[in-house]
Amino acid sequence: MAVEVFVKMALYMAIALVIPVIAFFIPKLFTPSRYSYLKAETYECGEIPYGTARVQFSIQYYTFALMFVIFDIEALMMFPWAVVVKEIGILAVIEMLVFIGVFVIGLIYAWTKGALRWVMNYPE
Amino acid sequence: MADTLSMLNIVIPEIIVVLFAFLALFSDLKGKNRRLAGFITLVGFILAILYLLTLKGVEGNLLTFVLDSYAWSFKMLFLFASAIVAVISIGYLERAKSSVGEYYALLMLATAGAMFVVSARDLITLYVAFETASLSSYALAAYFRWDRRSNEAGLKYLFYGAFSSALILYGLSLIYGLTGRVELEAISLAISSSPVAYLALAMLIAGFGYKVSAVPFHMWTPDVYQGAPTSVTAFLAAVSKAMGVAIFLQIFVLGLGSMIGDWRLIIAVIAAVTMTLGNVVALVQTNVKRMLAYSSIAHAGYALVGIAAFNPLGIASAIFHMVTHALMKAGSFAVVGDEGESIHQLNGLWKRSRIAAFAMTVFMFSLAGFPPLAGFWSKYWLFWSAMESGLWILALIGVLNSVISVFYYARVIRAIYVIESPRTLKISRMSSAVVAAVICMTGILIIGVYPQPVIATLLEAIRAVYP
Repeated sequence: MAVEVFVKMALYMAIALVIPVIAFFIPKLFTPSRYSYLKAETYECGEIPYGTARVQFSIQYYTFALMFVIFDIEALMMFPWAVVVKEIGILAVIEMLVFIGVFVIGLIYAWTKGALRWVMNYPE
Repeated sequence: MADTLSMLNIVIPEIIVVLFAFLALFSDLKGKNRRLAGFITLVGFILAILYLLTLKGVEGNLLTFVLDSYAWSFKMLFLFASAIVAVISIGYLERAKSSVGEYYALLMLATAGAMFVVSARDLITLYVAFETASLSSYALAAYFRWDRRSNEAGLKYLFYGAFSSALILYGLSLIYGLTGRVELEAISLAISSSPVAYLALAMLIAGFGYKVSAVPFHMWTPDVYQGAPTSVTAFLAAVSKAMGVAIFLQIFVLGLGSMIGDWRLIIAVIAAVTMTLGNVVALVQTNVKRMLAYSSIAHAGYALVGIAAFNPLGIASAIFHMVTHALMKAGSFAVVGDEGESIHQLNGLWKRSRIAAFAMTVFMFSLAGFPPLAGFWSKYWLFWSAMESGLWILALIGVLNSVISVFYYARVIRAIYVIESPRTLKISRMSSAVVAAVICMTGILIIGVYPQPVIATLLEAIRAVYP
């Protein structure tokens, strides 16, 4: 019953694999290629690159990154919720409030534990 | 909408557990009120047990969350076993070097996850609940951050667990692809044998085999059980393993029960190999935690015998075996946590603490399956159910394994009573581990003398999963 869906999926994936290959090789056939210093530069979204690529940064970023990811995922969870919230009604709102409440409790705990304090004690 | 909210009372035990998890988390912010967090946890579990008692016989569902007598029985087991683990932890965590609030919060969240697992009757709820329990127990295994073995245990558990979760998820997605349904009952009607179904079956057996530590997916078990804090080991043996068996019942018996012809032989062979390897390797262990880990592997094999038998008695006694196994393992890990994990540290325990020595003796005899203790009845019914289904060889292997296992359990008893130890100072103080051991011992003795109510309740309960 659901096998046709898979056949379509497989076909789609096969096409999706072929298209980038074509898109990559056709320009190679026709375009001239001239190298210059500017083209060999590190790509920095249009900015002029400076300094070395090997920068050390504090391990404390890891805690912040972790907290950020948690809240990022929380925001992500709200998109599918927003689609059906009108359908389900008040119950969906309560559920989301509970969901956010759990995160807020976690944030308060991390805050009290000092996870958000930036300690400047790295060696010069 | 109004109907939905009127059934809100069936989820209150879980709500109590989660709320008390937050309470325990905040009660120990400064890391000084070690015992307070433990007592809050204990109160939470007891309140949840009391509320669950009022829900006996209630059937209903709140969206995808289902309460029936099957879920009720497992929840009672989880809450009771976790409460015993909390009692063990109160004394055991005196040695912790960081705040214990997180430990108790994780313990309660893992229990809540396990409770949601047995209330799940569809793949999505099941997987999310199961990951809630698993993720919390990975962190629990690594809780002793200053101890390298605990770190090793946490890391190994995380990697093996993540790998098995990936297999499970792939298997579940194949089943969804084949049937287009996520409800387990609808799947059992829609699924039929096909190469893709076999692939899904292989993935699920491997993935859930990791969780119950069935051979050949058992490699993580000895290291994790040995390295994790002993109170966490008690939790893994009592609650996590029972949860694994519950998932086996829900996925294989309820969801894939119509494919019994395809998986029965595989599960039977896995059960036989698991029992044998667990018991044979346990023979040569000198570390009691490691020995009990191998014994725990063997006991997973016994429970799988009941699933392979696939008759009401077999499935009910698989659950029954998890109940007795939880009591025996939680109790013996309580004593081991108090005395030390090497077998030499148990030498002369009889001289030091009569209660702990007697309790340990009861656990060892019950694990070996001596009548009239609880462990005897669950094994007896498991092997009986295998014979009812015509699996004579499997029952025979099980009985032979019980005989082998007597040898290494007897070594512990010999250490306790026969071998002299320079440590002869009597322990007069009643530690929390001894309290937990006495509770478990009482349970084993009561179930051993009068097992009928438990097996009757479970035979009633399995009607929810057995077609």
